[in-house]
Amino acid sequence: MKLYNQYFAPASVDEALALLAEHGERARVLAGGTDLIVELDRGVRHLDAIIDITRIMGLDHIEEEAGTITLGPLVTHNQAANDERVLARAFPLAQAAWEVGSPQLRNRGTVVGNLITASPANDTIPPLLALGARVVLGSAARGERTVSLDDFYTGFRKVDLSPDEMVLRIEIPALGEGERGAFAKLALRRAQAISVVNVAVMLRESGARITLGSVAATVIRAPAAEALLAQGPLTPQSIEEVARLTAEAATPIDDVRGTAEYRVQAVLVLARRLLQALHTGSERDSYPTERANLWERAAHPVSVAPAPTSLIESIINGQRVTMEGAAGKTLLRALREDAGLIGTKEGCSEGECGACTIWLDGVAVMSCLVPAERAHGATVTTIEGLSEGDTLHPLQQSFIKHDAVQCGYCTPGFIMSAAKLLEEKGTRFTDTEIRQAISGNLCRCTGYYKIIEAIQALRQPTDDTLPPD
Amino acid sequence: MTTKSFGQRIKRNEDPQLLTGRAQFVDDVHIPGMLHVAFKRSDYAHARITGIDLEAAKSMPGVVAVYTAEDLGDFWQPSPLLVPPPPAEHVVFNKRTSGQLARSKVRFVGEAIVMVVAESRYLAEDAAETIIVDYEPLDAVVGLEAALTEDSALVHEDVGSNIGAHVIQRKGDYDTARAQADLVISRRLLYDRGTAAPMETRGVVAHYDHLARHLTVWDSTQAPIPIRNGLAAMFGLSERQVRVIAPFVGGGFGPKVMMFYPEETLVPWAAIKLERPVKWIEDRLENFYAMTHERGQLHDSEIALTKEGKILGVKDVFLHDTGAYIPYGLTVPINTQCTLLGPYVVPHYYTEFKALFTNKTVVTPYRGAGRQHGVFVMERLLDIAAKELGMDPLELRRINFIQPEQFPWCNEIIYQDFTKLTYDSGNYEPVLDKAMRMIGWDEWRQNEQPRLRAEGRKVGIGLVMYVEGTGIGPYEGARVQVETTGKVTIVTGIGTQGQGHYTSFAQIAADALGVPMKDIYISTGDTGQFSWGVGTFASRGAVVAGSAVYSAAQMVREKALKQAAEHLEASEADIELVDGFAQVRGAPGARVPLATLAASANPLRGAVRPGTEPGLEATAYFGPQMGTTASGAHAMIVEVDPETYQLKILKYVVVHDCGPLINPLIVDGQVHGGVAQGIGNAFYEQLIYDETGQLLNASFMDYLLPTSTDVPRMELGHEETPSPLNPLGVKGAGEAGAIPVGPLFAQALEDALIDSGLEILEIPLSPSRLWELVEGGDA
Repeated sequence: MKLYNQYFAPASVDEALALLAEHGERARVLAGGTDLIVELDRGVRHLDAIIDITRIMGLDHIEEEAGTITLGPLVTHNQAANDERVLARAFPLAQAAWEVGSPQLRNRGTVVGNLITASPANDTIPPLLALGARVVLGSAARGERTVSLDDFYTGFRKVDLSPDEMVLRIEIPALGEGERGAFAKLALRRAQAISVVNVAVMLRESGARITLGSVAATVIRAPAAEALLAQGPLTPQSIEEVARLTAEAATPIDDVRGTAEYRVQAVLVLARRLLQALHTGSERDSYPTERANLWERAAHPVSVAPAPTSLIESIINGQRVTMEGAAGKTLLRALREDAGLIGTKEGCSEGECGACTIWLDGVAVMSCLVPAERAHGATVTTIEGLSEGDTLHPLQQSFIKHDAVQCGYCTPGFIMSAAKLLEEKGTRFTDTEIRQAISGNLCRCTGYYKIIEAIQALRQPTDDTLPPD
Repeated sequence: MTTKSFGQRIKRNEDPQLLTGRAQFVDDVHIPGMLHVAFKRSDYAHARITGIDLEAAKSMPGVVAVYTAEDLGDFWQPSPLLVPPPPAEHVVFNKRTSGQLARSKVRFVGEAIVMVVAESRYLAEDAAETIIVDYEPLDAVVGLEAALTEDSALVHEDVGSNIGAHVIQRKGDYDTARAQADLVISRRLLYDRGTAAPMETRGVVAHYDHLARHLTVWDSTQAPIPIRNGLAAMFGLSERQVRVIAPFVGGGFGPKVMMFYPEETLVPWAAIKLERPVKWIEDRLENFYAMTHERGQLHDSEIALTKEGKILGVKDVFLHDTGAYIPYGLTVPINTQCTLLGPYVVPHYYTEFKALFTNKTVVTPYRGAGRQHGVFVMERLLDIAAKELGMDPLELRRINFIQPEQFPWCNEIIYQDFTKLTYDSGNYEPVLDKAMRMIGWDEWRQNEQPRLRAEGRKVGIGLVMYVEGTGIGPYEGARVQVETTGKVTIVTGIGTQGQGHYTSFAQIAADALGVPMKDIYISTGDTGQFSWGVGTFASRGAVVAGSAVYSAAQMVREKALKQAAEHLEASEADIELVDGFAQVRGAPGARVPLATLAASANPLRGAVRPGTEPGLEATAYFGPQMGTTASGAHAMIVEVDPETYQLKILKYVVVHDCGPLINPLIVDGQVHGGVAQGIGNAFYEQLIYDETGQLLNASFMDYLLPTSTDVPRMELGHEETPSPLNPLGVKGAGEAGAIPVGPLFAQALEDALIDSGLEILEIPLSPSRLWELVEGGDA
């Protein structure tokens, strides 16, 4: 099915709000699309129109003024995970953002989008709720209103947002001197996995907050634990008691990711570990200092261009390409069906396998989660653009040398991720960054080790042996 | 002679195409005028169909045809039985296979009910969504034991029970052995469902040329020739009027052998009927429901031993979940029966299974194909016995090994190739010794582990053994031709799904013909190129097709030597083939290009001697008398988080014996990939059904394949015990990596959590499940 009938790319917030007012429930704002496109593709949500706000300038800004950090609605997870202000004064948000999905998803998915999807398992909600963040909503009819996250969630996947409203920004009271916080999640796989539970703890002048995800219909707070925490400084005894009270606040259910009992145990353990880390001041130790983002610059890919008509014109692999009949498709399908570029593969259509990884305006993304129209006026690089004639990219040569290919179906995606790592980091990158870079790419044949070896071989000094980590 | 390429770590021929996005997979086939298919599939696990409303779909613009089972007329037929039941001692088999579209009743979620053909995939999917099927829901048969209760619903009412098959096999007399035993261990063991999840889903494109009366089908299958033969018969065409091409296939792992999937016959049928090319590409959601699954067995098992630890006998009675139909016969449970005995002398064995129909996706072989379950049972019983006897678990294994001089070793029961299960060769102690050395068993046990445990860390070690029946018949063939350019073409009927056949087969021929690897072109999986063969499964490609390539290449070599002897006026014995030339040994000036010999073998005028076959070409077939048995050991050191039960693999070792290695690079890759799937199977991947037969995690978001952060570096060691059953001495390697990982996890995790007294009797595990077993009083 086509994902939607109409695609709008407003040039200003006012234009976007006017479109929302006109289309109401039949439309939805699209930013990163990492949740929305999956819902449309799976048929769990039907929309007449999407309003793609990624061409509105300035919405990807992070600002800090008078103790408030403001995130625009296009701030991606990777931006949040790398921004110095967020790292310094909203650290738990950076931690959570870094734990979301894979690099390709973090390059597209936005923090605001995550808030709106409102899954109780979403990673960025607990830290924002714990930070006391507010969302500022706008509508053409009623102007702006500010809602505390405490009031924003009204039920399972339900938010206080009218069909004619959009989130204009998130306002986060920045952590001050002596105020600290931390976030942790537990998942069934080390990377790119939905949280079984997640926990954020915030210690502030104004009091303490503890928030929990994936243990109730919405992200919740642990009031009894917060109250105890507010009573005095952390001690080994109080840590144990606060952790216990935190776990008591959880009212989880059994599901495919774990039993309710296990979740309560996991909350207890995570809370205790976070409190201990905050007690000893070691909460930042686990945050990676080297991060593979698969981008060249820290910005949402905003290409300034008019909205497409029925023709989508892009620069693909250095050539001007016009795609006809691609409207309403994913960029993956458009590339394959309308641009004749079959090297990009479809493995899952839900952003989980990475076979469709391409570069959109220089940033690695999952093309199965990008509306085709987004490529209008944009620069796209696919696997076909990586080699020049018969001269293979050094990475392609290294994959051959190290026998990193078996069936080859996932290979283009791995190459696009790894080649972007090389562009981002040059020839200096760590084993951890290699694993980060390909954490969004699934391979069912090779067991990954030879792929890792092939990438290692391109760094200076070359190091063919991978120490166990 | 040029440097021998057999045994070398040679780079793969096929990689540049795959690396640059220029390799054709089925979804990359585009034919002008092509129509697209989408299916309306069952939302229920078990229900009667009381009505189907197609009106909206039929009236949608761009919809060309909408078909239900009724509309298929005589073409609607239950699919053929792929493998008949084996001639074992006691066999009941209730053949039930599925028609192409469900008629009157659906038996699993995702069963196809209506096929929609439209001008685009999008239109077809939209139309399928408008179809309303009225159901009368029935109780679903989900649990294995529940399927056998008297009040259980019946998947197939006419069978009268949910028993798809009942097989008893025995070796010796277990009951007598048991009576003499000093120790009998009995346990109930569970191995739950998973899916192969190849990165490429299934797909079929069919094009019928009405003028040439020729059907071409591109199919992501592992067995193109049987598909071609079947389609020809179904459509009343000659086999020469049908060409099935398995182009690049993005991972198979077993489920892509299944034939016939409904889509594989419906798409060509529609192409013929509608006189338009037709394409169907499965999406990931469909793949979770409609591509076959594996695993799913419940064992009640017993081992009887002397107090010295000698195995007297094993008894294993199990239930096997075959899903809604049983099209692949009994390959999976038979493999379980036959692999269970492992590398050990087991004088007495009683094995019985019931294959049960359930309202779940059909089960057919997936990498390991039942072998995992057997190895899990045996290795677990040995671990538990070792504890009871106070013996070292590896010593217990060692004293029960079949000794090198005891081969061929016959276990008497019937294997999946219908021969008596016989191990052709093996030497297990060196495999165990090497694995112990590589993992550092003694040092770990004596020093490292006590030190880490004293720090409060939960660390454990495991080492398990297995055998794997590989390289079964009946046969494969190959044609090797030296073209008049001097280049060599090899064609074989098996399909390839990433195993590097293009390279391994080229290596075999390069050695025989003295031609460089770059001058060899390989065609696999195209019935237009080679007409005979069976398919790629059961770790048989390199063994069976590789041996056929070897034989054909040797025949061509003999032809070339003979011709060269005439041409160079030398004795055949003095001719050698080097770098594309035939030359007189010691007189490199006296030489003739193979190209010239090929050209003279194909004269355009004049006369040839009576009986002359044209061309420097030969076709050969290889059919082993039985399968060849590979073996190995996996060892692992693991650390468990004592609070969250997440784990970290600190070291992983595989020692494998698959005979001489054609290309170690490729064999290593096969083992790596197998282990990664085994790890997924052991700790990450589990298909979870609710009581109504709904699959709850049909998505990569919740069916977790291991990522690069979850698979450890592996250290590989090889032993090379040749097989006497084929000219190369090789054994299969494709499934070995995946087979013993479950029991390895169980053993190592028990060791890591030794204080808890945990006994692991099920796979897969997860942090949550492990916690329940230890803390939840569930153990």
